[in-house]
Order: sequence, then structure tokens, then C-alpha cells
Amino acid sequence: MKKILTVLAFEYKGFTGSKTFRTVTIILAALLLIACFLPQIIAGFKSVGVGADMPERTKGVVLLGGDAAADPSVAALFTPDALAQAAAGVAWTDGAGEGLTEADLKARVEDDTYNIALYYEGGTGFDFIAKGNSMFNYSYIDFLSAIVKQAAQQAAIEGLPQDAQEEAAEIAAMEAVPNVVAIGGDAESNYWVGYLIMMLLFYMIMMYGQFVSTSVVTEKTSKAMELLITAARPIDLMVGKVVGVGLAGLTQFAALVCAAAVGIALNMPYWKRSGSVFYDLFASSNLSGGLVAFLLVFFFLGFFLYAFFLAALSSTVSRQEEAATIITLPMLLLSAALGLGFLTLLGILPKAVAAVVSYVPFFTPWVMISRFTVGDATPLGAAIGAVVLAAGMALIAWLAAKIYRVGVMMYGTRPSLKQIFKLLKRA
Amino acid sequence: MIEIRGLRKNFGEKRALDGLSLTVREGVAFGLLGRNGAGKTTTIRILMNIFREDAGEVLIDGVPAWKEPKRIGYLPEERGLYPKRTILEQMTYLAKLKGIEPKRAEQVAKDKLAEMDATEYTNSKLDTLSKGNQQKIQLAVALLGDPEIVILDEPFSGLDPINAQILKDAVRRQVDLGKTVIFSSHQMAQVEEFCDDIVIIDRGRAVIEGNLADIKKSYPRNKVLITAEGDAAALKAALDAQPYVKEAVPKGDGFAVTLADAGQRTPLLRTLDESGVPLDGFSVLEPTLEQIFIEKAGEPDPADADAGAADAAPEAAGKKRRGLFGRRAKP
Repeated sequence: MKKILTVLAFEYKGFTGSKTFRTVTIILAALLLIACFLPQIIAGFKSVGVGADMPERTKGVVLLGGDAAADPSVAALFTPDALAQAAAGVAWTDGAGEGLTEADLKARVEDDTYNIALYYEGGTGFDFIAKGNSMFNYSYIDFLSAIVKQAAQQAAIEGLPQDAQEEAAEIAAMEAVPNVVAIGGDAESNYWVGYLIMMLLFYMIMMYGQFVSTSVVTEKTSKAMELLITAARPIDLMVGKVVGVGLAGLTQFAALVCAAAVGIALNMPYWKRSGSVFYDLFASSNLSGGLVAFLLVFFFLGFFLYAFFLAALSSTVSRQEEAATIITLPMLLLSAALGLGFLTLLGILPKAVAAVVSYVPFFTPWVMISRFTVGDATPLGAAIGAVVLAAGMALIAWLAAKIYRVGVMMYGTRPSLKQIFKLLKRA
Repeated sequence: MIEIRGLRKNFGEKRALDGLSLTVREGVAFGLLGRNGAGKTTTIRILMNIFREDAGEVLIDGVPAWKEPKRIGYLPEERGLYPKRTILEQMTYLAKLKGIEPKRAEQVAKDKLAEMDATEYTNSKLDTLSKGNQQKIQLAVALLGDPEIVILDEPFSGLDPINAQILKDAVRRQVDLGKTVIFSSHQMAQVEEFCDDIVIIDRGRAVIEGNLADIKKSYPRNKVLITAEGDAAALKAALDAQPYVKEAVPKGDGFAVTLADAGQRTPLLRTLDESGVPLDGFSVLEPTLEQIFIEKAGEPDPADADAGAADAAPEAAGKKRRGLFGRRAKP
């Protein structure tokens, strides 16, 4: 253990102490900090003040025409106050009161006077006008659809004979009342958290896995490996190196997270009001301590599994150019894992397939996180997944140490898989 | 004591070691000699547990060598440390890996640098140093922890005479301290300078082993080196006049004389004295290590003839075998 810590400390200091590492970290943190000021900067360009005069996130305008405008009971459903009650966070304006016509609505959205516009003449159809077709528009369309449906039903009921109207109104008001029994994760609340963790893990491995690969190849290029192998056990060298370099990467990542946290904290009012759907999504997340622990366990185990894998492959080459080629395989696995995770999160991957795949160590972090997030994995299943992942990581680490040891003599042409297996057998 | 018994090692179809056996006595300087590809470095790497033997065993005082890593300091043939880390940082790291207490490791590293007269490089990065100074640092690393056994694989390759002398002094100190020093080289002059015992390896086997002085004495002692003051012609004439003088070849200021029989040395000396030739020196001419090597292992590497070129030759030979993009060309 002592030697592992010695190697770990040396590798960690080697990366974090280098000028390049520090400079890049500072630059990235500064850029991230500046990015957190963007809502404030954008608000400044739009001449928006701070405090009580700050506008709501989304500005909407509603205009009724035809039968809808003529029917007071329908019109009552589309007043700005009524619409605001149905969807908080949108400031509605009555287009008729502003003297707008149907033709004006597009122009007003175009010039950003309003973010969204609704035109309704009666029946079940309505026009929803917005710039681009953002995926977030569907949340507005959904609640407006419900109001339009209500208005259409109301108008149809009013057309019925008096004695049928009451019964028809009751029938129209019938709603399904689901009793949601959420087992495991709360997919709706934690979807974005699961998505974020999967993406973070992917990028962490992409960026900091390279550190590990570079470190191993540098030792071979400089021929330091031969000396190290005689001074310490390969497993001590490998574990110390991968953990040390991995921690260096995580340190940089933590610095960036801190910079982002400071930036967002300083600009919280602007983030809350700038139309940031992300804020709402994360604010409504149902994160328990257990879920956070679960996510962290799979995050770290997944990271180090791939880090050991990269170290093992890098031990077989002796030049940085060859390292760039040989890490293609783990990168492909990584991409596949992320893809499977997304498919599981979206419910596209059949559950039986997701269940099987979630126990394949290279895919476990992403698929298990997704399964747990959507409530498809039990705590026991997740625990088994963690054990399988940990065992996979340990096996890869052991194999990496063996390859590292025989790799000390692999210089020149890259050995074939057959040659590597032969050497491992003899080692 | 280091014992190597029946060591065999193959790399694919190439037999690198073919039943090598030798013994290294405690506290001696031991020369491991052989041509390029004879198996010297393979033997050392097995001793250092860099890779395993296919058959045979390597023992240090009866214990398998791989169990005694702390007793050995190793200067590998392929020199290398971290180019971008400071010398002190690397030496401290390696000292800790060698088992020196973390609290003492930095001071031990500094002391070793002072011993090697390299204190000025303490906070320098390795790639800013000249090759000779890098070699010094590498030797300092090998000597961290004051190991009982020191293995030096081609320690003087690529060094100019001044740096070579510095390293020689450092090596001599280890020899004087009674350490067991295993010195692998194909530069005969340097081996002859340091080593008590030697082994010559050829094609993975020991072809001759033992104390160098004893080996030399085992050769016929019928050659003498004779030097005289004044006219060499007179000495030559006196030598040619003796029927038991087979050959008299100019050597330095005198002649290397081959006699028919070693027993003729004393009569020759008496004859020359009586002839009035003013003798300056008369000594038995033992074979040089190079001559012994040539006899036992064939023609030596042309690099042996010139110490300066010796280090470039293997690399050049290696480069010739490489293809256009630096890859090894297929045989």
C-alpha cells in the first residue's frame, strides 16, 4: 500500500504541478466563470434592470378571433391571469388590448417583443407561434392544448339542450387520476440528473483517460519503465499511476465545477429568470442521499475501469502516435456505452436487453444509471451491478499490471494480440 | 554470492540463453563480457526480475534473486528517467520505491548527488543535462540505498573521456567499499581496469569463467616484453641471434618476444645481460582480455577498437535495420 501511495503522490504532483495543467485549468475555469455571467450580459443587452422590474422568463401574447372572441365563457379561459395560473413563469399579454391583429403576431415574435404567441378562433385547432422549434416549446403547447380542449368542450356543451348540458359538463370534466407508485428512481424528476452524470462520465474518460495513456507511454519513451519495474511491483505501479493521474483529472474537473458554482451563485437571479429550463429541471429533481451515493459509486468505478483499460493498452506501445491509434477500441466501447445508456433512459432499449447489458462492466455505469433513474433497477440489482463493475475494474487493473510488466520489453513494432497473450502466459 | 544455474531463455525462435551457469563471489568486481547479442543484458534482466527465465535459477545467497530486490542497485543499458521532472524529485521518488523511509528519502537523494558531485543539478530537469551528466544521475539512482550488489550495464557508453573518468571514479569507490559490482560491457579495456573475475558469454553460454589474473596465468607464459635503452637495433640483433626466439615484434619502446618455451625466459635474460644490451625492462607478456575474448568468442565488435565509436555502432546498426518510418524492417 505504501508504494501505491508513493506512486500515486508522484503521478498526481507530476500532473498538477505542471505549468500546462495549471494554465489550462485557470483558463477553463475563467471561461466557465464568464459563461455563467452570460444571462446577466444578455439581460444587459436587452436593457433589463435588476430587482422588481425584472421580467418573467417567457413573454407570451394571446389573441382570440372568430367564435372564441365572441364567446365570453371561452374568452374567460384565455385571459392573461387565467393562462398564468395554468403555466407559471410565462407573462401573458392580451393581444386585443394591445391592438394587435393575427398578422402582427408573427412580427412581434420575430422582433422579440414576445417569445410565444397564441391565436385561437374556436374549435380544437390553434396557432402557436415561436422562434425556431425548440424542444421546450412542447411544454407550452401541452398546457395550451389542454386549455383549448377545455374551451372546445365548453363551446360544444353550450350547444347542447339545457337538460343535457350538466351531464355533458360532468362527462367532459372527467379526468384520469393516476396513483403513481414510483419504485426506485423518479424518472421524471431525475431524468436530467441521470443524463448529466452519463455525459460527465463520458467526457471525463475522454479527456482524463488520455492523461493516463500519455503517462504510461512517456515512461516507455523515456525508458524509465525498466527502472521502475525493478523497484516496485507492477500492480503497485499501475494502481498508483492510474489513481494518481485520475485524481489529477478529477482535481481539474472539481476546479471547473467550483468555478461554475461560484459563477451561478453570483448570478442566481439572472439564471432563475432568464428562461433557464435547466434551473427548473434541477430544482425539481428528487435527489436523495442514496441516489447521489449511487451515482458517485458508478461514476468513479466506471472512470477507473476505463482508465485501467487505457493504461493496459498504452503499455503495449512505445510511441505517442501509436497510443492515439490503440485507444480507438476503448473509445468505441465508450461511445457504445453512452448510446446504450441513452436508449435505456429514453425507454427505447428493451428492458430485458438493458438488464443484461447493465451487467457488462464496460457498459454498466451508463446503463445502470439509466435503469435506476427510470426506476427499472432495484437497489439490490444496482448493488450487484456495482459489485460486477468493481470486480471488472479489479480484473482489468490486474491485467493492466501484467501487460505493463511485459510491456517493458515491447519496443518497436507494436506486438499482435497473439504475441501479447504469449508473453502474458509466460509472465 | 550470486549463483546462476542452467539459465535458459528464448525470445520466439531465438535462443538468448542456453544453459548459462556462473558464480559471482561476494565483494568482487565481476565482468560480464560478450559480443552484442551474446546474452549479457538478458542475464541481467532476469537477475533483476524484469522478465522470467524459461529454465534454470538465479540465487543470491541461496535465495531466489527476485525476492531480494533491495539488495541490488541497477544501472540499465537503456538509460531513462522522467525528462520533465526535477532530479531531486525523481531521486526522492525512486528512493521511496526502493524502501527508504519517506522522511529520509529526500536527504538520501541529496547526499547521493553530493557524492556524485552533482549537487548543482538538484533542481534541474533531466532533459536539460548533457548525456554524461544524465548518466551520472542514473548511476546515483542505482546507488540509492547503498545496495550490496551493483549491476552496471554498459555504464560508459556514449561518454567523453572526462565524464567516463568521473563515472569510473564512482564505480571504483563501490569496488573499494567491497560491494559486489557486476560490470557488463564489451569494452575490454575498461573491464580489465576494474574487474577481478570475469565470464565471457557466447551464444548464451559461458565459454570461460574465473579470476582474470588466473585466466591470464593459465595461458602459455612464453611471451615477454623487453625494452632497452638506446639503439633498438642492437637489442633486435641480440634477440634474432637466439635460436629459441621464435618471433620479436616491435611493441612500444621494445619488443614482444615469443619464445619456443616458457623455460627459456631466464636463459634469454642472462644472454641479453651478458651481451651488454642496456636492458630497461623484462616482463612476461600476458594475453590481454581482448586477445582472450577473440580467442573464446571470435572477432570482437569493431566498436571495441575505438571507445568513442563503440557507443554509436550498436545504435547505428540498429538504425540500419529500421525501415523508412523508424519501424523495424522484417528480417
